[in-house]
Amino acid sequence: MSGVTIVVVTMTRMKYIPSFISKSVTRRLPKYTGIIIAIALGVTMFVAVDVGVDSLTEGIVQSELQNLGEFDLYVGNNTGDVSVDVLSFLLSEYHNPQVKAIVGRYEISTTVFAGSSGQIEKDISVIGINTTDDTPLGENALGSLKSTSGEVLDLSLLRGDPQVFVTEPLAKKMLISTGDRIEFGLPIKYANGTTSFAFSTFLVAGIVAFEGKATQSQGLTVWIDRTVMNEIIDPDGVLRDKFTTIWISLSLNHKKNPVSIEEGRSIEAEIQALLDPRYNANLETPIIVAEALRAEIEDAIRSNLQIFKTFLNIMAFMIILAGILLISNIQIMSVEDRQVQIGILRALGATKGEVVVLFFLESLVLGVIGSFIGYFLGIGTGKYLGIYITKIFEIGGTPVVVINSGTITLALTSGVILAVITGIYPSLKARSINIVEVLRGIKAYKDERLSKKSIYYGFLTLIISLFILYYRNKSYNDRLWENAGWNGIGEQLQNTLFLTFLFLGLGLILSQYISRTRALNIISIGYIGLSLFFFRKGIFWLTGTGDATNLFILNFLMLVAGTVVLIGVNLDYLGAGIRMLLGFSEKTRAIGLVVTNVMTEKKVRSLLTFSIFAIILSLNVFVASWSESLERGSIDEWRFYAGGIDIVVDLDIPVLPSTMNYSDLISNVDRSIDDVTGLRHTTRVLGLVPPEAQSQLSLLLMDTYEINESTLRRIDGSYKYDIIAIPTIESMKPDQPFDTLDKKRQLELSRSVWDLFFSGNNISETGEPDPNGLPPIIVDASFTVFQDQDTITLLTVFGPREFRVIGELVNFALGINTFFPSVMILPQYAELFEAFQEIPYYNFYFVSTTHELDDSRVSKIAQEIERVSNAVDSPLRSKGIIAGASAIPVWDFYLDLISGNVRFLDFLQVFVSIGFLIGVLGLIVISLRNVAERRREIGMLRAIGFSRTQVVIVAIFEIFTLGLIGLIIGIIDGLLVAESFSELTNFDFFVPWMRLLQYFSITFTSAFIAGLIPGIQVARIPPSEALRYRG
Amino acid sequence: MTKNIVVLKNVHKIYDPDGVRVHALRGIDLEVKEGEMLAIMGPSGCGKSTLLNLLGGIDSPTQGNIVINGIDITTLSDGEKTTFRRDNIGYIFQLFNLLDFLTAIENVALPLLLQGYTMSAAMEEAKMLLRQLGLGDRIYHYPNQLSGGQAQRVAVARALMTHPAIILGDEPTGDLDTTTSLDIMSLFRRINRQNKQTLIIVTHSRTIAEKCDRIVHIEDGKIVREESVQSAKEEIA
Repeated sequence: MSGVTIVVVTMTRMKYIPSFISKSVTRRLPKYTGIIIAIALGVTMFVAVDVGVDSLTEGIVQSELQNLGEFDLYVGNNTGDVSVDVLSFLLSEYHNPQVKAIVGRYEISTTVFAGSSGQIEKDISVIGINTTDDTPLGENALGSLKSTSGEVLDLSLLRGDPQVFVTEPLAKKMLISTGDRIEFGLPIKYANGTTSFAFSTFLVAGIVAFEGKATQSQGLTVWIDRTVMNEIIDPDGVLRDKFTTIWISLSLNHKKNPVSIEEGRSIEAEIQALLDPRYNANLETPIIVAEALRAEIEDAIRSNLQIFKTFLNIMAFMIILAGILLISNIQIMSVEDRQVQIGILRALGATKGEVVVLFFLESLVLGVIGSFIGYFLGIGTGKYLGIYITKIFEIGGTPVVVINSGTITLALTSGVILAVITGIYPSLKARSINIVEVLRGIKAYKDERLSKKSIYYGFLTLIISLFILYYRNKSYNDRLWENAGWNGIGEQLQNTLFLTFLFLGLGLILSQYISRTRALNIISIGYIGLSLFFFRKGIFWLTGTGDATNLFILNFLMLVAGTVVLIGVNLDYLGAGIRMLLGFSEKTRAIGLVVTNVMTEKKVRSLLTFSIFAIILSLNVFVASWSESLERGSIDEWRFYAGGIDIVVDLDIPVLPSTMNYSDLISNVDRSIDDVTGLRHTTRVLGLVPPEAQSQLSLLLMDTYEINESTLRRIDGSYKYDIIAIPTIESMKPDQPFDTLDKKRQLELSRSVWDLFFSGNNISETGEPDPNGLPPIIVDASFTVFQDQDTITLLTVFGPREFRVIGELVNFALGINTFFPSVMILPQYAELFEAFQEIPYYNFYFVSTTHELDDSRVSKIAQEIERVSNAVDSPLRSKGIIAGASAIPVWDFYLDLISGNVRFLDFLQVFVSIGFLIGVLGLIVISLRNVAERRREIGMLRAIGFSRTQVVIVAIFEIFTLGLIGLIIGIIDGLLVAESFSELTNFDFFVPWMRLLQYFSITFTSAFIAGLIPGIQVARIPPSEALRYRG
Repeated sequence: MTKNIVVLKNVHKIYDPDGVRVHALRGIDLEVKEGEMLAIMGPSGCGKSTLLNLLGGIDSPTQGNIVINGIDITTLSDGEKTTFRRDNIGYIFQLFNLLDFLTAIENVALPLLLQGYTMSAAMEEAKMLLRQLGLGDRIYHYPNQLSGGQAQRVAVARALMTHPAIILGDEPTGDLDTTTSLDIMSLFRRINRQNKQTLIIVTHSRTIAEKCDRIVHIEDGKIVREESVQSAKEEIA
């Protein structure tokens, strides 16, 4: 017979399968409900993560980009110093039909005081526009300013008495109406380079509607005539031909005609190429760069949320793994339940292949049904997930439900894959059914050893392990047995894979010579050992950075799998223990015998049941412990890093000593204030991003602090504030990682950095004073572009200048919430920057009190400082000064950081709780099936004298014991991983007792209900009827 | 004079599954003497197994009284019936109805555990009984590792374990070959003689029934005939 004939005959013969499946699925639908629900929940999770995160991304992107109005790129240098020449140059030389508008703007950020409401608002953008121009918002019909009622506002109003327009959001926020007066200060620039401030009152001539074209600074904008503005800020005419920024639009309506990230970047590259030869040939100031801001923001949001999505998907994968075990479990039950049916089918002539096809197709049908349910559930859940994340992370932005064309494919694929994966083992089990055995109800003797084939699989696995070892040795020079052979993520991943396959291979081969229980014991102990080695040692040997997610997941899974298999293969011993325990009471002896035998008879099923709980609870316990450790273990840690600074006061406009002694004003706020130290701070110092970090010329704003000896030291030389810095000069570096040192040593090293800094010398590469060396600088290394840099280049008024990095700030409180890297420079270098030239006096204060960092009284003092600085009746206001002071308790910075993490962990907790829900659901489904399937046995038990209560207890006890085993494994594994994580992140480890108690209560309650309901149901059936049950 | 250990008066059983009324037993009156070995015969669906289930207290009659060992079990609650069953009845089923997940010895020891024996004592007793029944080498086997005859002997051992006053057998040899069936019947007879336990067996087989003292014939839920078995008497003699 030819191959084609065989196929045709087979296909013809298999025609009965569809109708068989249809009947089977229809008739057994109640029994399959558990599988469909599990698949639907799995698909729901994937779809929800997909839709939720995509919707969230879209919401944030839209919200963040709203700040840009219809602009795509900016040209300038971030310091507000762009010559009109650049605009003329671009307008005349750059012709690209994609560019719809090029606009020059003069913008100043200041604090506004509204007389009518007495409110003060910081960070308001004051934009000077040319009111004589037909297109005041820029070239090429970017539009005009419209009132809230839709009429075009008469710009000539701005030319009269000092009058301004304010945008709708600002008007709403500060309760401003047309005709009110507002007050704000603007910096006056003189030809000699000095700066002072003018405070003026303006009449609000109109409210500008909040729409795309005028929404910069989130719509918190004041529009002023450029000429009127110049009259105030530019008495010497030095700013007449200046812009702060040149904006470029690639679309006049981004909603209708969106601009892709690639388009934005390509225009950026073109403009940069045009600017470089003219403005940046020798990197002379002023350097002009083009930046595709819209593309950058969008890309950053999308890629950040992609990481978030990946993380959620990893969690979802772990949860779904538990779902897979649940479905497999139900499928196995189904095969066992239908053994006789399969036997009859085989006896009637169905081939083994047909049995496999039958079960496989049945799984597929269930998968497709589950996928569709999961798709719709997922879209609904995803929508709420997006809203929930937006809310708990206080991200802002309105979630828009984004359902990609790929979502339905994702749903179907994940559902079908789930069904197929879970269908494999049961199909093979059905295939291997012995017709005679099942029809006669007998069981042939099974060898305690694994089948002969396992030796071949064992050798194959060994060969794979050796191949991994060979590949590993080819890729890395360090040997496996050396400590250095474990310090890279890639190295450790390959080492782990090698050992994983090695243990498996050896176990399989050994199974030919010893019992399979022993062989599985060897494999599982090997896996537990390997993962424990990772969590206790390996994870601490890793040096450098990188994504260790794969390594972490691999070891996490190995730990859980190892423990589960170890307990599973030794279930008999555990059963004997339970039997012994229950044997103490004559009422429970018979129950003990039945329960433990029921559990140990179907080892695979029992193992699958408790492994569901083990995986889910490991995740839950890990997240709960991590969260607890982070919350409770961090207070001392942050107290150390705060270095004695309790409050920082930031002024928009510095208070000159000639007007008032602001330090005294703060000091007098509360008797507990024991020090107030002023310094200058700006975010307008530019660093040149190292060429290796970015391909084209790029600048980065630096959050710069001018620090002198008296800022941190007392007169006697002792330190009053300790901003912790890690030495970066080779000879000063500790011989072990900084964060592993005790706090005393960390402080010593940090002070050695500051001692070097305050020496005032130029520093050589080796950290010696050297006139030919570089001025010292201390930087925040949490920004990757400045990590591991020996020097950094800053743009001074004399052009780019190199600084020697002598220390890296670690957990610097003030650096936590800024978008720019913090740097510390000495006063003698501050004057090299135009930004500092514009700050005539201290605009930043460190305040220390006699209270603890986290004392609630510190917050009250901070509020009082703001009140005495900003309120209508404040001494500053009485002198006509609007300083715009913000007093922030340092603890708040850390709380923000912690609460961000805590919020993330809280969210994870909710997310993994879904898994817990699946586990509980699984427990109920399994229990229902278990009890239903054992109806006949229960009839037998009743016939020989088991009471109804005893039958119910058996049902509850079995499922509770399995749940409890899973719970214990989950708790042990979860705590183990969390403990090593806490050690890695330098937090004290705390056991989340309350959570554990909750998990126990939920497990107990759900197992109780899961056993009670079917138990009662089946106990009610008359034994005579139960005895007639045949599956 | 030997007392009646089982007395049935006007026992009716009506099933009503899915609204289809089935009158399985229609006024059964029966008396069984202590130590008697009674066979119940009749065609399929005549009500034999129903009668046995009622006697064992695993089902309740729709009407009538069943007095066993002086107790009217129709008046007992479910819990009382369970205790009664545990103390007075030994059950042997056609399909052996051994618990698959327990070994032979565990199946046999289970009724003793329910009576409060310690695990070791129950196991010891079960082991002895299994040895007596010739299953010394099958003690730790699971039911599906036993032949039909071996499994039925385990079921017999389980029924005997608590020394019940009455042993009920629902087609106890139905799944066995002739030789094994006769072996089992000899076993029953031995038990019956040694322990003076009452045996009530439902069977299709005349050969098996003739091993008993008396045969009751049931048709359409009624006792249509009773006969004493001479061969049994001779065998006893």
